[in-house]
Amino acid sequence: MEQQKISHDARPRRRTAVIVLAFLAYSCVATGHSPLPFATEATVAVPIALGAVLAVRSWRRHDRALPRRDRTRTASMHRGAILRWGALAALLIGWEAHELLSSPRTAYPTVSSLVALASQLRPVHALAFFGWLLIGHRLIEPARA
Amino acid sequence: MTFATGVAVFAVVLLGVVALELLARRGRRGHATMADMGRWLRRHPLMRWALLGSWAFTGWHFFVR
Repeated sequence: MEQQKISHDARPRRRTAVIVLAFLAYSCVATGHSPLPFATEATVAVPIALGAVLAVRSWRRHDRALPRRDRTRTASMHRGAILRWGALAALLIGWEAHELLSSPRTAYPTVSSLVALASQLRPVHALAFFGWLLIGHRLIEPARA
Repeated sequence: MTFATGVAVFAVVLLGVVALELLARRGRRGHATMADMGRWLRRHPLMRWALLGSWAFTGWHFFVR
């Protein structure tokens, strides 16, 4: 019984480890130099296409398990949390817009220009790609109530 | 000076994210982690697609363009 419980608990952990390792390997390959044409486009397009298909499947399965009236109902969230995260998002979007409309770019950096600068280092580029894959994986997960 | 100001504002946003995340993980009442916010937003079908679209755009913008 105890052994069954341990193996049951270990399964999601093993699955997570496999996903993390696969993402790390893919990130290293994707950010390496390839002589093939459109290799960069393909390495980004594949996760996007796969993510969209898996997301639709996952969301449909999740919604089917809910009563119809609960499918579009928004769960409650503390107003303070919404305000704090909303304020940070507004600051980021506002400042990004301010920098985007100013020039030259060397004096007014945007998130993109800073990421491009940092991504000149291959490990940083690979880590950023890995982070992007992880975020995509989290998005596919069905939203729990 | 302007470059430093620009980076400083982005750093403040990043520090804010870390601070809110830590406060929520320590169980402070009225706080939510970024994952909680994402889960909350994904409850609505339109927001799911908006988030997935933003993720796809970010990937294409940062890693292809």
